[in-house]
Amino acid sequence: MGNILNYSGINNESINANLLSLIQELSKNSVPSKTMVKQTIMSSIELLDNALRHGVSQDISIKLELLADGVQITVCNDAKLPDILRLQEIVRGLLRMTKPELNALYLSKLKEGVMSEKGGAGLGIIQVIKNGAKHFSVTYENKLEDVFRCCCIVNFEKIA
Amino acid sequence: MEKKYQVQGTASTPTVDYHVSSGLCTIVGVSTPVDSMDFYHPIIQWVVDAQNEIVTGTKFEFQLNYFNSSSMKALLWLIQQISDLIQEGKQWHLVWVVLEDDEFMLEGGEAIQTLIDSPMEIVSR
Repeated sequence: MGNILNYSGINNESINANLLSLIQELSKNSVPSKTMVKQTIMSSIELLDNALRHGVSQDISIKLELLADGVQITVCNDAKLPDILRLQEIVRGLLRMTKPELNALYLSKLKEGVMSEKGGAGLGIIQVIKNGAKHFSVTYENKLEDVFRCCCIVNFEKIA
Repeated sequence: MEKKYQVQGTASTPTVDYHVSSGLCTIVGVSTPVDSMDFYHPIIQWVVDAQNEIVTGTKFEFQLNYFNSSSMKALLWLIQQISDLIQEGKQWHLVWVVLEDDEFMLEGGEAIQTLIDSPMEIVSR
């Protein structure tokens, strides 16, 4: 058990791509099951994408930890409080959905949804939960005046 | 000169190899750009512009290891455009390649299958 990756610093499109390449390599060598490797990589892609798109600074962190019963991904970035509260609400709503409901929402957003100004398709968080996240929480703490440090913590469990 | 659209893959974008006369147009690799439409829009435009020169029987193959969800949306737009042209009479084929029984890529291909009007074959390699 322990850290697979612990990065804290600047993120931009180029660093993001390098981080994802690193995550692919490290996950393949450290994460025990093929499904969990894919869950880790696909979910890291979405969480880092969100941090890059919605963060109010380039200061991010990502931690991948191997736990006794799975993998935990923690991605933190600076954000505005209304955006964080909206994200919490979205995550709570998605976690209440059944798998068929999630699939239907995903397909409808894929077909009808529009790209945001920031280039997002509104599918990322749905994708992470659809990937089989067993736990997804959004925490925050005040960092500076109206800037908050927001962390998304996602767990995937080993399939018995 | 033969019309083609080629882009070398990077850490965040796939290799694109589209020719009007080779019979095979491929997108292969990883697709995680932040602005996926910026990457895929020129490909969609190329297909529209070259539609009358792309040979009968051409296979459009998509073989991705990883993609972000905005790429999924952009890929759907590209595949939908090709599908619409097939519906208008072009004799082309859509192929979604799944490597090593990758269940996530299989799910992605199946999602696209349900949203387009033309058949798209899913093959395992």
